[in-house]
Amino acid sequence: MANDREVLREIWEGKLPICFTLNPDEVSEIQQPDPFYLMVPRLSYFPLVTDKVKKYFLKFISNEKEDQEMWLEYDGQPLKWHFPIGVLFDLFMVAQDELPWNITVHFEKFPAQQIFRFNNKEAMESFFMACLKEADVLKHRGVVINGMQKKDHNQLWLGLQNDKFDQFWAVNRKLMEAPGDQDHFRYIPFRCYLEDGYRQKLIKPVTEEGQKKTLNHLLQEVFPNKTDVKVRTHGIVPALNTPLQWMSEHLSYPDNFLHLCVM
Amino acid sequence: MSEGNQSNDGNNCESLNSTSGDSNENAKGADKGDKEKIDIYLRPTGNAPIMKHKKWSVEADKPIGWIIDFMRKYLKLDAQERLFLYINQTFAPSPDQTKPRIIVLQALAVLKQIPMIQGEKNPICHHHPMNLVMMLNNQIVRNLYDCYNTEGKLVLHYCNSQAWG
Repeated sequence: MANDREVLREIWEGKLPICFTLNPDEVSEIQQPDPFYLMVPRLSYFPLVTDKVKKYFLKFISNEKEDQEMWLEYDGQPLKWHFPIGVLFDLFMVAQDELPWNITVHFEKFPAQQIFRFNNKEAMESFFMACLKEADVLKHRGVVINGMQKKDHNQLWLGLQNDKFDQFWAVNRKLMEAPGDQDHFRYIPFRCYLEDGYRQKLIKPVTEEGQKKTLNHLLQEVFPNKTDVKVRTHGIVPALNTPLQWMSEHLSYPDNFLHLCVM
Repeated sequence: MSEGNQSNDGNNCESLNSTSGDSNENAKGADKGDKEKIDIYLRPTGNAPIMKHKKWSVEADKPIGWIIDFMRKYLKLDAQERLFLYINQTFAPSPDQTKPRIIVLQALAVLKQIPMIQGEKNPICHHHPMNLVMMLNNQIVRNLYDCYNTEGKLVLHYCNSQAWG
């Protein structure tokens, strides 16, 4: 069970200051628009927080471009909207002192080869629910998520979308319970990000002898040939002796996966 | 991807190489003969067209989107035709469930306004798999094999309509 509620709360309340700037080449007005500043939850996704950004910049681009899809870029790379914002930040940022995070807004030349198209919030919801389902298959053979009703699924989604901690966790705690007579999940849902993508493996939270595994065990199993691997998540570098089961319960993103960025 | 000559017993396996016609790439592939490959089994469900070869060996770091592209070419699908990929999960079905449980993995579709499916018995059904999977296009075969193989086999089911939510 996820019992350290203050940790859950701290993680939930993690926010990033972002400065959005319209790509100067796409401005149709004589005057360049001011940048748009926003504090966004690390746990959220860009499609859930950028409605205002889009509305604001639409005034400054030529009319025939208005129907085009907005996309975001940092340091020459398009941002994958289906990754949580905090994961994108931890992946890109080398130095934490480069705040606010400067992101360029585009409406032209959608990089369809590099990122998926996003057309509505339902697409985001479908993707989010698919991740939750996969995570529950790993933890509980999918029994918990499939035993829920549609209103529970809606509550998870709305809790995330509206940044309501209590609403989200009232349902999410069921997903964070160990199955039946055990005190741990079957497998830990996680993704380990490298520069060229991520790795996912079946990793149990306990050893054959029933000992609790730690983050160090996970990293050794995922990267058997590497030593001194460190990962960042939620902007912190968790200690290598952090128990995996505790990490999964407390440091998972709302999609129920641990997202670990290899440093 | 290489292709399994499956006319009889299905034990033979062919390599699925780049279908782009890029001879350079093929040559490179030949050089790296020791590159890690994973056998995948493609099984049609519903009315999906049958593939002559069912067993394929794929380079472990190929993304799912690449396999989908290959299948679309192999099956000669029009741009409008849909193709969904699912992964089979062998776990206990819940009481109201008689169909095998499936994780929706991948769908390739022209992303348009897609009606949501409502009111199905399975509570998860209202999430439309077509959208979901686009996003897992970049999931690589190795991850899927590591997490979801059954007895050393990675079985991917495909269909041209949504078989399971």
